[in-house]
Amino acid sequence: MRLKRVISLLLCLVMVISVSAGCSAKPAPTEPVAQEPAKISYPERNLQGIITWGAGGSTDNFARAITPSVEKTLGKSIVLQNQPGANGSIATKAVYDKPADGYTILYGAENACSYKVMEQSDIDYEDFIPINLVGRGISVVIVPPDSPYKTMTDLVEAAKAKPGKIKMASTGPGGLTYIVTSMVNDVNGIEFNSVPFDGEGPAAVAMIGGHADVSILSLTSFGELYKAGKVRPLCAISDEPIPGMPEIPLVIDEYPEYKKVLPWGPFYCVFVKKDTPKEIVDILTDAYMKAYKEDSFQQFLANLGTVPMGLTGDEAAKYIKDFKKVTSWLLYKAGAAKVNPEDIGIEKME
Amino acid sequence: MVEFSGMLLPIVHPELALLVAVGVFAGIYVGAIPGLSVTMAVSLLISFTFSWDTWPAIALMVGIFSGGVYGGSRSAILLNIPGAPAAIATTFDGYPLSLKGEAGKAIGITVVESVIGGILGCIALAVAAPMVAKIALSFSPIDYFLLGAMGLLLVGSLGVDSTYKGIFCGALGVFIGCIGIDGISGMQRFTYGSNALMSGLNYITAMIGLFGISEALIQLKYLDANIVKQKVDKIIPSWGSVLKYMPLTLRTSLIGIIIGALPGTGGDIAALISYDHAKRTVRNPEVPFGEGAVEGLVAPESANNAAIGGSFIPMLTLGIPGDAVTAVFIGALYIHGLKPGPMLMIESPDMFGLIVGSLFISNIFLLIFGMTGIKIFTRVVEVKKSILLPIIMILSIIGSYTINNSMADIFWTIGFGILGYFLKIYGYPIGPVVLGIILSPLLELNLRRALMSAESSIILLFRDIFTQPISIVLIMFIILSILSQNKNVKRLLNKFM
Amino acid sequence: MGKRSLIEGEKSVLVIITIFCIAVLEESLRILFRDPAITGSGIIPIIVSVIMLIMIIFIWRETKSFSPIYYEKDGIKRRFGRTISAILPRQTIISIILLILYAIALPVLKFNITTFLFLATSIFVFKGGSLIKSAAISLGVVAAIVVLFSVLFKVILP
Repeated sequence: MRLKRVISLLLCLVMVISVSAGCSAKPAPTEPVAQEPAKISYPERNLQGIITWGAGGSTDNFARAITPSVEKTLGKSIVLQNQPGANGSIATKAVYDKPADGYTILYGAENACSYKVMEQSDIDYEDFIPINLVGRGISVVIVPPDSPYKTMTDLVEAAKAKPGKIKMASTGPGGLTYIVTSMVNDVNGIEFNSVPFDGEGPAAVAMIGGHADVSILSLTSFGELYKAGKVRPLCAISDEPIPGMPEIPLVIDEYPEYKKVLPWGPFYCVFVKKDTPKEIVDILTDAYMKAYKEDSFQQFLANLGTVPMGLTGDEAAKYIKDFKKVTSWLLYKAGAAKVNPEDIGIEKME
Repeated sequence: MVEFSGMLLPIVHPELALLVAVGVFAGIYVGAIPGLSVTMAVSLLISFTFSWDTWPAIALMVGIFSGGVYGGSRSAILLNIPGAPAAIATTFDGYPLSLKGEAGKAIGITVVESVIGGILGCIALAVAAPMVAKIALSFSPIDYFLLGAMGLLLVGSLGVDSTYKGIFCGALGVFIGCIGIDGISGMQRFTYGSNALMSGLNYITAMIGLFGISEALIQLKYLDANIVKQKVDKIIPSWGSVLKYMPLTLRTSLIGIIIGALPGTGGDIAALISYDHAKRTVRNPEVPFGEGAVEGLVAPESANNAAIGGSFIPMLTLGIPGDAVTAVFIGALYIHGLKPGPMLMIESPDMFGLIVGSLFISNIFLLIFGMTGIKIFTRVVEVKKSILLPIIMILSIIGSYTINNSMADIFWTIGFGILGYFLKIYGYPIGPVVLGIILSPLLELNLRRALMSAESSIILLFRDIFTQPISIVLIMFIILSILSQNKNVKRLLNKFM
Repeated sequence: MGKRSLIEGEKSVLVIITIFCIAVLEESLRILFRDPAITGSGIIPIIVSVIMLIMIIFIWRETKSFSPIYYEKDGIKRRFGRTISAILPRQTIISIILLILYAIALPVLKFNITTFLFLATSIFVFKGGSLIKSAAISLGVVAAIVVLFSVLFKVILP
């Protein structure tokens, strides 16, 4: 009996060792050293993708839609993970804390641009390198289908009559809803009761469930819900009709004052930490651009009313910087910012 | 009504059924290893199955989901280490049974109950999805809070040495959950400028450390103890006993379905609340709870598998995930060109039927595979402790590393392990600590949301509670639960039963 | 919650826990000041720290009723020694040290080697087998893990 056990144990060991030898057990992962260009072997192991918002939201959707093609190109998996919270700063910080070796990717939305004025984080997108800014979303004011508000004017008038009482399902301080709400508060002179949720998905669900009266979300996150008739858009915060959904009224039709702050809209972008070696950045940029161009992804963007952009490198960085400028001043003017943008070196707008 | 044709897909295409079987088998073993989670397995499968057709990919993933949720109970019973958070409640009565040598019986019960719960969840998905979705949607933030509070009440009754220690540990858990960046305001709490603390403490890391490593450290004292030989003959429970527990099974499966259907809460919370429910409703179990009560296995195992069906409901009716694994499923659907959302059932009715059909079949395979391989597993526990324990420690460490690929998590796990060791020695129950950590965000964020909804007025908050049907039901449960602890009320209730 | 005898070190540990609770309460108050709103970040921390302190007081009262295990003449050294030997027996201390060493060595020596060393040392020290047998088992286990995790599951190992 004893002997049998020993023999079977030895057999197992032999089997295992030969199998692992045959599979040439992976070398312990090391940081890819920047060698002569085109000689670099990246990626050598699976990557990790961190999404700044919760499951079901627009950021989550775009991340999961674009990643598989990239995995095919790179030949390795990108394990996606949501780390929502604090307006995306938890996830951003998490990626920042990892080494700049190209193995941790950040999938973020526009929120980081307001971190500095909102004092939510001491890092923002200027500490990252944009790999691909895939598209620009459009924010829409939505209500449940049975809501008494039929137009934006209805909503604004009601809010004026009951300041601070109409419940707005938001995504937290600094999020898209928050910024647009500040915009609306500023332009129309009203005030909502903002209740923060973990992301656009949960906010939409809360509104549908009757726990909030209104919400302002990006079309990407509720596109399907709209098609199924679960939410009703009041108006789009945009100065151009939404591609594919021309029936949604524009805010400028009812309130031309908005023209001076538009165009403006949430964006979705893939990043790696700055100082990541150029060869790796190039490999990633090519892979993501290839995925971006695929029909299935373009269809995904179109389905959800997102304007495709596909910016990379310096172009993307400039777009982000301008967006940060506009948003920071917007927030400050609406009284929502904690810090004067001028004090932290953000140039004034015209 | 439901598209039945889709449900027959796995039968019409036997290779789909085969994939489900493979998935269940793999899922059981993945789930049984502490630290390897179902969520991770399913995420990896997405890339693995990227080039496949949609149907086989989904079939495989459903299989792993079912198998994985069950699998966590294996190590919970045999090693007192839950293979997944959903199996925490299974340790309470499962491990004592294995200490008595009755692990076989425990495993048999958990398999059968998981299958029953899984099938019930599947039926709910097939037949009542829209209705359950509606119920789930009407849960307002205060309801989530009350739900979390219900789960926390379990805390007081888990105090082995004293109720006070139980409550203390629960509060400690909630406190640990508060460390990090606050989800609503973005403020840093209890971080003292440390980076590691700022990202908060992942509850799985804490669970692995508090349960896994601390248990291993405690077991070191008994290196020379006699190894309990497990009875593996009477595994399959008799029909009689299954029927006996059926009322409880039905109730806990229902709890599992609804909690699974709530976006953001899944099998782990369902299992814990069901365990609490069982404790309160089963007045005189043959064996007291916590020492090997069969009811203590029936409740969580049926609930966590029923929650699988439940969490598919919001995913398929609204495109919103019911828990972490279904969130990954949504991603998979996107990749294969589908659009999760309310239109999915209309535009691709086959998908709905496929998921229901695969889920149903996965339970059948669960029954088959769950009953096999038991002998091998119980042999694992009979390996010399001096070899087994270090291996468990390594597996636990790997498990916690793979969550975030962060070295810091390894330190956390070891730290929690040492903390857990000391807690156990002095009679402070660790179950409530993990419970507190898991429930902390649910409780805090929803309480604050509810207060914000009520314009920061407690009076309005109470008005909200007492005017919404779901809130009323929940708060009645809570009040009754608290009251039933009181000696006088207990006497009254005993008179009636 | 019947009477029993004290476990070694119980009172000292209780003191440590009490100090910890007071620190938590203090920090919670500070948070409350920074965000003084009922919906603010300080609410739950305050509530739980108060609960913890109240519980600790109850636990103190319970502990007082436990029979002591030391005599008057036992000096600090004897008490300390007895506590350590009861709470932290040899294997436990070794294990803790090995775990900490493992975590420190991991980034340096990488997974395969560090795990192999840890396992082999642990098994040998806990008398699971001779030096050779321990090394062999350890090798097998590490190989199995690498195959299973890296190749099959495509998991990134530390």
